[in-house]
Amino acid sequence: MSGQVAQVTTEKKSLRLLVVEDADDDYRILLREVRRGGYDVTSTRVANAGELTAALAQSWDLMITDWLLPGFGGAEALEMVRGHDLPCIVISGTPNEDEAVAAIRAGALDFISKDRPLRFVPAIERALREAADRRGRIAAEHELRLSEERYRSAFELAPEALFTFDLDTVRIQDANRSTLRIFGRSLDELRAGGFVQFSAPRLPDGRESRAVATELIERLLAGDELAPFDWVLVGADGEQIPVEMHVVRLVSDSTRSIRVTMIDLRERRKLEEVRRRTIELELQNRRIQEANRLKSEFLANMSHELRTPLNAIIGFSELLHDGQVSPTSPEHTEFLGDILTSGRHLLQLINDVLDLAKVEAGKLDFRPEPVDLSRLIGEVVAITRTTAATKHITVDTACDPALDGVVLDPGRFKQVAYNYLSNALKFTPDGGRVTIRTVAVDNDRFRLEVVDTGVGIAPADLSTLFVEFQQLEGSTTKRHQGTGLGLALSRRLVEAQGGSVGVESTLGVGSAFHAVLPRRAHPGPHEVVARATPPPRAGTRTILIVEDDERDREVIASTLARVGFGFEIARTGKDALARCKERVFDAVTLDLLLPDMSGVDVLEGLRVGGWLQDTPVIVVTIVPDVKIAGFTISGILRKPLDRDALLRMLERAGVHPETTEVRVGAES
Amino acid sequence: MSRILIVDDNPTNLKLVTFLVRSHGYEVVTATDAVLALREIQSHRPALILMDLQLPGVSGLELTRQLKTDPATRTIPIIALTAYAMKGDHEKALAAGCDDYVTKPIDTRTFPELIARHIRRTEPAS
Repeated sequence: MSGQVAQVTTEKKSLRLLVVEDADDDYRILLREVRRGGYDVTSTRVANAGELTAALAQSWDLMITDWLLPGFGGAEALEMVRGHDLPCIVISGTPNEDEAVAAIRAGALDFISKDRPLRFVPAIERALREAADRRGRIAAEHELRLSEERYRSAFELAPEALFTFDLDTVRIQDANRSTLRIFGRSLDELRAGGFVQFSAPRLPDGRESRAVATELIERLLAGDELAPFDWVLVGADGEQIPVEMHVVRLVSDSTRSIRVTMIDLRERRKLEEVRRRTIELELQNRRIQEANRLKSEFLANMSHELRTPLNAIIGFSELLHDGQVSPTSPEHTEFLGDILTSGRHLLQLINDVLDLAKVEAGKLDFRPEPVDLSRLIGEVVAITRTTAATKHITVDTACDPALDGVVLDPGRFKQVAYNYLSNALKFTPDGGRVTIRTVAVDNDRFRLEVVDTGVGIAPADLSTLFVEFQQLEGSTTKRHQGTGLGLALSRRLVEAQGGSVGVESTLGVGSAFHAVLPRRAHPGPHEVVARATPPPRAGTRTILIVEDDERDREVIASTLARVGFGFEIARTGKDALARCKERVFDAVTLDLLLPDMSGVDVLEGLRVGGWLQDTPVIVVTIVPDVKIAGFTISGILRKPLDRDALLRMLERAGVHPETTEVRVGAES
Repeated sequence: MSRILIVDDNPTNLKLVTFLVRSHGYEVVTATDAVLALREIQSHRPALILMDLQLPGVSGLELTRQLKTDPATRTIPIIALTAYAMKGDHEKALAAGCDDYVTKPIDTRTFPELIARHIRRTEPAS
């Protein structure tokens, strides 16, 4: 027995036992059995709810409760310890099956009769074991839950947009807050819709989103790894959202799903945009500074170019004025000539500068009219004849006979041709040869060419030729005979008419300057004014004869009538303007000397006010060398009138007596 | 009679200044670029140089710098004669070594006195 006790002592297990029992004897028996079972027991006996509550403030390994107590019971005790993680066994002096079932239901691990004390210890052992198991299980579950929560919050609160996507259902499974924020939708909305539904129809490269998505999913299902790719989402408010997708396959998942990290590119794009704009502004700033520098340079050059001829004008004038030059000396005449030349040079310079400024501001007027190119070239050659003759330079002209029906501003054309020709003469040594010619380029354009046998231009200098004041070094003559603006002005004049200029040159061989111009000049910007549809006209072409002289009127009227034109007559300018407000004429013959107003004023009235802005006007005059500035005219007829010349001029202006076309205006 | 070298590539200006200087009793030699000017200076050392600053090839500024660093020519007074009258042009001329600076158009009434002043200043030394 003592040996047994000793054995028990060595195996003693501590047990904190809470007993709910009203009978002291029963309690003692219980403790004896427990001790016998090898437990070093610490225990308390309680017999009512108050005592139990107080006892529960301590920690217990096990509770054993009597089923029936005066004023209390096992069921109540079990109820009170629920949630305390305290295993319980119920003992009963009067056991029956109903009590046992009720006790187990209330949470007891066992139900034992007081009559069988030998069962106490095994029941205690089993209850403790079961409680330990349960605690382990609960701890494991808790651990799992914590881990899940940690993952969840990492997923949920990640600054990156994350979502998982089921490849089989082709739906979003889960999405974190950042993702929902980018989509601008709830998780339920995302789960309910197909992914393509939230995508723009097309990707930035133009491919269809649906087709690309299908292909990507197929590749993922086939086991491919995907490189990050661009995508465009459509937010709830319809905004297109560029994103970059990074796909990670979820290995452990039994479903075929992927996890996607989505990068909102809008911020990045915004930064890129800011950077781009910064660069742009910097460039713009540099351009402005460059323009400013060029402007200062232009002013400095301008000042220089004005002072140079003024030096001669003022200097020589002072000498002459102060009587320092004898009036009878040859210098007297020579210096006057120098003043004159310098004055003219100054005027040319100012004209060129004004023209340049006008072209620059888009305010230069072009007055296109049908021209005879060979005649214009002849006039230009005539102007330079003296220069050419002095240097014994042969000037050849060649005009392409196929070039007829050219319409352009003759003055501006001559300006360009003159600049080219005088330049060529300047740089061609004595006895050289200069050719000026016009050649058709195609149906719409022709080319003016001036070829010389001059000194030629170094390739490095070709690009500065058409720039203001960029006179080339190394030629003493050029600096002082030109304004340094001629070629620059020519380029601008040609470009303003929709053409282009160019030069080819070989040092020592010569240069060829050219200008390519439209064969039919487009109306200048000043003519492109929105107009109402003119009144309809059809049937006989009718010409307005503005003429106060009865005999001339008779000649014009009979000439027109003979070939089938209709006509109306206005004897005064006022009458003419009034008629033009009432109807459209196909052409007008205009006498410049009218009783009430000048022909030019009438012309202005026709061009600016009525429907006649484009109508051919033939000026008929006895004034020799008439100059009509400001308005396009089709031609000038000198009196006495040449009937055939009048008809030719009308024909050239496109006015034929018979009706061959119906104007669009006539249909409305 | 003092000799004056006029360097200018503009024939009209050259004619004007030559007439003006000559009518005040100076002997005039002319050159239309830097190379010809150097040749003149070597063969007929002038008492004064009227220098256009914009010459084809080697500029008047560069020629002035060259003359003012050469001990043989540095004492010859140089009057810059230029149509450039913008801010900084005057300073540039003086920096290159010009003794004076005249902007075109020149004043024919005061110009001879300017020349005389510079010649008086240097004559005792030469």
